[in-house]
Amino acid sequence: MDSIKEGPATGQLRRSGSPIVEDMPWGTHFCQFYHGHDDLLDVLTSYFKAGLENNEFCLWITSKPLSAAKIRNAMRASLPDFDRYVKTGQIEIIPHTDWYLKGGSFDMHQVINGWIEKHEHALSSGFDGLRLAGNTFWLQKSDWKDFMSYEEEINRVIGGYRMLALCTYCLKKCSALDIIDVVRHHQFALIKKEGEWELIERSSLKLAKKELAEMKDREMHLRRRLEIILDTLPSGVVIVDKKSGRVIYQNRRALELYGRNLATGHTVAQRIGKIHFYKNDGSRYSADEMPASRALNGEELRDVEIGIERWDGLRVIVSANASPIRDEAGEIVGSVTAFEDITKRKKIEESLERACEESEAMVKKRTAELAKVNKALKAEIRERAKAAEELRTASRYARSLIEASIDPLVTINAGGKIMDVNRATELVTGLSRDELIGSDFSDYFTDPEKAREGYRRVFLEGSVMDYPLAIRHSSGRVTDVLYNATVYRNEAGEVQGIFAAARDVTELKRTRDALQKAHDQLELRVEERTQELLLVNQNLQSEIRERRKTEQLLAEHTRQLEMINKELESFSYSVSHDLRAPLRAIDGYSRMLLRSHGDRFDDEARRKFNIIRESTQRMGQLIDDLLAFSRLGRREMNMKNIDMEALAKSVWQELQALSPDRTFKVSIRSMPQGFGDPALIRQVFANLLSNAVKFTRHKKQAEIDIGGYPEGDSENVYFVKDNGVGFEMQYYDKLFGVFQRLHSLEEFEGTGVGLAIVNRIISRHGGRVWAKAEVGRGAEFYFTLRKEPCHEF
Amino acid sequence: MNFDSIDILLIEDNPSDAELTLNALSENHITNRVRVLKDGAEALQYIFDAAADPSRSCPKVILLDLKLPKVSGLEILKRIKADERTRYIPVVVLTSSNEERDRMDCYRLGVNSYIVKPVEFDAFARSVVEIGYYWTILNKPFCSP
Repeated sequence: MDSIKEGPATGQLRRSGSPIVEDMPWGTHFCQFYHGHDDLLDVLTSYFKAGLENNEFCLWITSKPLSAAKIRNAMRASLPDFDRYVKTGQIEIIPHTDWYLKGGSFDMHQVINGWIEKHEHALSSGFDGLRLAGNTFWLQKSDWKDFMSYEEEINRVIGGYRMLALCTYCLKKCSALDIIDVVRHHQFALIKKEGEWELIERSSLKLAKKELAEMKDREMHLRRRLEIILDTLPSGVVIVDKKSGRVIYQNRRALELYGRNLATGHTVAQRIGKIHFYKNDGSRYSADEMPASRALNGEELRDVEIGIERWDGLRVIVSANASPIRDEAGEIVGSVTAFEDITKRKKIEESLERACEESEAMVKKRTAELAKVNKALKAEIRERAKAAEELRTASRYARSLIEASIDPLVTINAGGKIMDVNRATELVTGLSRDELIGSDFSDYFTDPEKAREGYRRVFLEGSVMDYPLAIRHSSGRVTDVLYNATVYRNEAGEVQGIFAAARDVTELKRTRDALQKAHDQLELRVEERTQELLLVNQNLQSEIRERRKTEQLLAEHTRQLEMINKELESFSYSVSHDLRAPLRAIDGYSRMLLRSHGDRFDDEARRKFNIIRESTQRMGQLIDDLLAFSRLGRREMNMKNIDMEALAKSVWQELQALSPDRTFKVSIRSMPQGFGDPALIRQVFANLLSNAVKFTRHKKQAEIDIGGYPEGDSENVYFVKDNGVGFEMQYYDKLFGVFQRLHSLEEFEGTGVGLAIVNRIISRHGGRVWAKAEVGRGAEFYFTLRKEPCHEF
Repeated sequence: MNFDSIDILLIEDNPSDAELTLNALSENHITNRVRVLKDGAEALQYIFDAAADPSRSCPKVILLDLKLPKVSGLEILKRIKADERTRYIPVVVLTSSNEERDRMDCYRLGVNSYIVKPVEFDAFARSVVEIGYYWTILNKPFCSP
């Protein structure tokens, strides 16, 4: 007998012990009509023998005409170690009074509960299930109706248990109507007729057999539905045959994702030659690395990201799942790969990342949050994949494709009743397939009217795309989905129903919400920043105001300085103009006096006139030097690189020409290039060298040494040394002062401005001046200039 | 002195400088055709009156001090050089100022020579005499007197 009914108690067939019943599945409830106790023993001993030998817990409820002793003897005859089974407790023989009539009368629920307890005991004791037999010889007419209800109930529930039940009825005690009653309440009956056992089947059993015969047709029908389903799926599906290595099926979505119409029949290697599949790192997938190929080797792949470069240049990113397809013996016969377009999701993620990058402070925080969201998403995807995987492994080839979908899939008939569901639908509703099939499709949505409107529209228009609905789980959890649905037709083209695929958009929504949240926070952050900036701006503005005030003060000072400068200038101007005129008059008139009345003056008078004239000349010189000195401070500097050696030589040539009667031993060494105003530095050399000339006047052999050397990174030092009269270092403080002289006028002429001018020029260049001297042995003057261009002092 | 035929017009407010100048010139025999004017306003009046009178010839040279009462030497120079009738009269600035600014201003306005008065009398006298000889004898003027 074939296994017809499948349920939780299925899995393997149990031996019946009867030659005409053969093997039967768990959940079989049948009856036997007997004439006498020989008939009874004949069937029951072989029935229980089969059970004991097959690790089943056996329960024998006995009644007249069999006593427990008789049973034991009969069992021992057919099963020599029967007593061992009794000892280990694998079989219990209980009188009907302690079972059916426990408590004095028959109570259907008490008896059924008794069976269930024994069933639990059997399973918890390590037995495969419970095999029982009950004799009804005790049954009175008054209990008949109740007992038939009991049998009916057994018939109804036994499918859910690993239980075999044989009820024995004494033929003599049954009327024809009773027999019909009994047969109706059992799956089949055994009856002895003319010495031979005969099997009486219920008409429903025959029906089941007929169903079996129709299975092939149904499978064909299923295939057609399957193709519609697959073409409606929002995921691409590709099936590769193991034996040939060729693609034997691909759905419409797969071709849409590839972007070109490729025929089936290619191997994976041929296919990757036509379409480029990229990994995350940009390298190409080899044929062996493709999920379809790996699944052929038994791998289960989930969420493999693949970039597809389509022939039109468009790039899409897909997430692929792949599983091996096994035949009933568990051998791999092919692989199925399902992949969905995640380009949009990737883009949203990327734009999220980009948005994050824009704000340096936000980046870490946002990335962490994103990672968290991603992790949660991935965990959820893994969770689902796991659930889906469990289902897949349990299902057959065709069914595995539907079950492989993470999308809840349903078929609905014209009346809006659910005709079929996949595992995803069970998960999302929290209800079993059995509960769902035959119920109203619209019952599982938060808005049933909208759901009804949805499938009505499919019937009207042929299909709907991205129809938003919210599925309510039995626990109350709501899942937002988008429905894609299409009608499917039979061969005659008549609409049979709707195939509807739901896409859980919770993730997408969550990602969008996260993005929205990120945007909001970004805006908030921008607002904060703007506020901070405003504050900084205010501070800056007040600082600017402060600076302006300072600038105004500075301008005021500058103005005052300019005024003072102007006054100074006009002072200089007056000096140059007005002071000289009286001097000229003094000199001129003294001269005229000498010229016209000179003969009347004695020598003393003439000497005094000469003193007057010398004084005026000296005064004129003082004025000129003072003006030259004051002019220095006002002069614009014209900074250049200066060849110091050439400059010193040129100055020296001019000076030498003024003293043609003297001889000098002069050495002008090579010097580093200077940076300064050439005219002013020329003045420095002129003053230092003319001093050297002047103060070596008494030397027979005047020696002048001019040179220079770099010092440190930024300065050059230049010097002028002579072997002249030198000076006393105790008066060094006065050396560079204006009108300061360290020698008498009789000894050496001069106004005492030369070194003051040197000092002033070098100061303006940012340099230093110093001197060393010893009386009678000469003097050394040093000054520094910066090596590189620098701001003016 | 012949006012109608002046060789040297000396514009100098300082009487001692004027006397020293005249003394230097006279010692070298060039005093008869010198006219001294003591302030800027007087000088302008004289120059432009003479220019307006065709019977009067222009001086061979004008010796001009810069620092003058009322109208400055620079202003006088500017007016002389700006007027078609007087612009060819040689103007020699004779001043105590050796300021670069003064020199540049004068040359920009078209001065013919710029001499700094030496403080020492002999040098001063030499300068004045050389100026006198040069402009009244050696130099040929634009217009003949």
